[in-house]
Amino acid sequence: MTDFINDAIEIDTIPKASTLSYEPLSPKHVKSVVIPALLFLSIPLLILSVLTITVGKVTFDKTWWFYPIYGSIALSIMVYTPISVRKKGYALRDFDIHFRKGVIWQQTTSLPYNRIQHVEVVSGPLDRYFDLAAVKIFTAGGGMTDMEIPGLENDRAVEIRDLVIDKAAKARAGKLTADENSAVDAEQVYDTSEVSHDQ
Amino acid sequence: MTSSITDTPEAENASQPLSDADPQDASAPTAAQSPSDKSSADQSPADQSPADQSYGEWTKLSPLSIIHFTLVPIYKFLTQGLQGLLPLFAVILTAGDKRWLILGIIGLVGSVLLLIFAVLSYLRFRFRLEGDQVHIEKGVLNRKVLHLDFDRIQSVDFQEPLYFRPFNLIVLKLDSAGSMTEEVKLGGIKRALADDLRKVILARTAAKAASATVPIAQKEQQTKTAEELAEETAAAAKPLLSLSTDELIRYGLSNNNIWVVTGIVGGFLPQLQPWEWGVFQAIGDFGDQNFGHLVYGLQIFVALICLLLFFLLITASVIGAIVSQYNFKLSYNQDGRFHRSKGLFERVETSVPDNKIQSVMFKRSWMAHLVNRWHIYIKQVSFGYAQAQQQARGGDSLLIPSAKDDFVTQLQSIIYPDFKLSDQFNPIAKRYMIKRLLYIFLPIGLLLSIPFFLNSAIGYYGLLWWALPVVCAPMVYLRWLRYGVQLHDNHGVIRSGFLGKKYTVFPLFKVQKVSVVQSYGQRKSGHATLNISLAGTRLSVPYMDLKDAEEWRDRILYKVETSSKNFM
Repeated sequence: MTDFINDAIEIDTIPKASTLSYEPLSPKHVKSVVIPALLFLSIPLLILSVLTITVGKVTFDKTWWFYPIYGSIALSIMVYTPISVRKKGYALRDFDIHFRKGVIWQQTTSLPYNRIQHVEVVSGPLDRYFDLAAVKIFTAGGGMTDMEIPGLENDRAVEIRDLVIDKAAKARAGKLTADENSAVDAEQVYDTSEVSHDQ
Repeated sequence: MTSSITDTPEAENASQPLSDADPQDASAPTAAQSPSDKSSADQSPADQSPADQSYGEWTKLSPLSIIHFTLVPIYKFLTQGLQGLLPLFAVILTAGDKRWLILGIIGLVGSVLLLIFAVLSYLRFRFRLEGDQVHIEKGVLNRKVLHLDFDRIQSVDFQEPLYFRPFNLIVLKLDSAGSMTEEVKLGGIKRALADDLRKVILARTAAKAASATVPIAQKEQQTKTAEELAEETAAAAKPLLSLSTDELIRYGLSNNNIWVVTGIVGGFLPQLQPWEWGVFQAIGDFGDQNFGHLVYGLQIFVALICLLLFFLLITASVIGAIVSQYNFKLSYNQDGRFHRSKGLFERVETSVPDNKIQSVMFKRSWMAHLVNRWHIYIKQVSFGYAQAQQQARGGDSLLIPSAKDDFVTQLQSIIYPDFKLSDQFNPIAKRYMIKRLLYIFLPIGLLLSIPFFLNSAIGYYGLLWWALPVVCAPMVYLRWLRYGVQLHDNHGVIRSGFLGKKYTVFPLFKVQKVSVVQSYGQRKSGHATLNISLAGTRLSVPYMDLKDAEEWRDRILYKVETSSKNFM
């Protein structure tokens, strides 16, 4: 009986997404999240303070507990946000894009380029002040954003958008190959020997 | 700042492959009908199909479509608009003696307006086939121009409502991928015309799909025209399944809809107005008078009433099943198309090319288990916003209401020829049970026991809530037992359930997005939740081994990225 060789798709030769190295977001993103949050938070605080000073019935000894609560909320926002932003990262490979986020629940989302329907670069009002933008990617899976990479430098966001659109169009035309070079690629760090499971 | 991939038809609008012309453009309707558009001689031979010669010209619907245009708004109003106008009716009804007059006038004016609107809708509606698109112009107040690529068409439906039956007219409905705002319906064309259109559209889709999977070298040898293909394949339809009324009764009995309706009715009851409670009062009094003197008489009476209601609900479900699925017939075309026809009052025929199928779900609720049948949902593409409406209409899936075990196997071998379901499902981690009980049921139990601490009159019974996790443990175990996965070379199977079970089979290359989520505890223990998004379905498996979840992700990405096939 001749040798029957039936090679399965060797799991070991399929690229592993777990060994990606993730690019961090811009550090300015922390400020662009914290500042609006604190501003928003301070509105009730301001109202309360004004009422306490002006209206006789609203006295400090009745409402004192409000302020520490607000203080702790503000503090936790200021402590939590940097951690949350640090935990976010994105990675681009030849054929797909990944985004990682989450502090307690860590989530890694992977989108193949040839499933991407369209890409948007979005800046909120405060983002523009910091020169930041978010990249939103949509697939055929639903009307909502499938992947959102916030807190990128505006130039980098545009680069990523252009790269992704280019890759997606090529992929759909069946012309995407692994040795595509692009400006963004040259700057990416693909260190597949690094295991990037942060704790 | 929106940029789209320019080589796809969705380029114009975010997620909208149909382009709607601005109302402003309607002021120059001639823009869409320049003489050069109409002449099929302008098209290159490659685009031309036999249908272009007949349908390249603008065609109108049958004049009887006025009936359709009258009835559809009424139906929409009754199902959607009525709640809004109920207060108005209430006001009118209390307006004293004049109320019938007012109502009458409103009714008359409304009917006249509706009739005018319907006639205008008929006059303003026209359609044609141009190149690889269906062009439709319609609209009375807002003029709409729709161009729909054949490629984007997921299925072709024939609907034959009662009022069209005597005239042999059909409502042709095209299900398109990504259509969030517009349903593409030709409301009232002759059956022969509808047949032709369907042949042309589907042949073109099939030809494109077939050519997409054929290696480049062979493409040059493809010489069959769309018409030849259509003729070949029309003759090759193979009947698969024909459901008798008996089978539909089984479906009606085993359908989860019963519980849905129960839930709705149960939610509706508290909202009844005081005067409606009188009915329940009367029933209650009746029971009290006649049975109250018997031991437990009243309780038994109430129980019997509940049983009666339940029986009524089941009957309603069975009747609903019979009406909507009457004379269910499923056939498969050698060219790769499923045809399904069903319906008692309104006859609906649907054609779904099998390359548009995203996944297939096989479901067996505990009631279905009792009648030994499966419910099968053949899922197509759906997009977020339209999904809610589609679910209400019966979904973007093709439902096979009642299937036996061997049909399940047969269907799988037709849709996924290189796939064979294994008996073995890989389970999820046992940890799942502990975590669910600990983090969900225990806190709930503790929360529910709080009243004991606040109000000692409750007695120690209040502490019984602490036993909630123990009581729920068998249910959580059952749920754990149902979870299972299979990773094949090209397909994935994900099973879940509780009392019943359901499993979804999907080709790996059709996946849109994969995500792996780990909670803090899962990071320590090496587990993860795997989320797979297809075009319209989201599957989720909790507490897989992290290694397995990553293997799924890597294999899926590999298959998606190396596949040359169109996923839709």
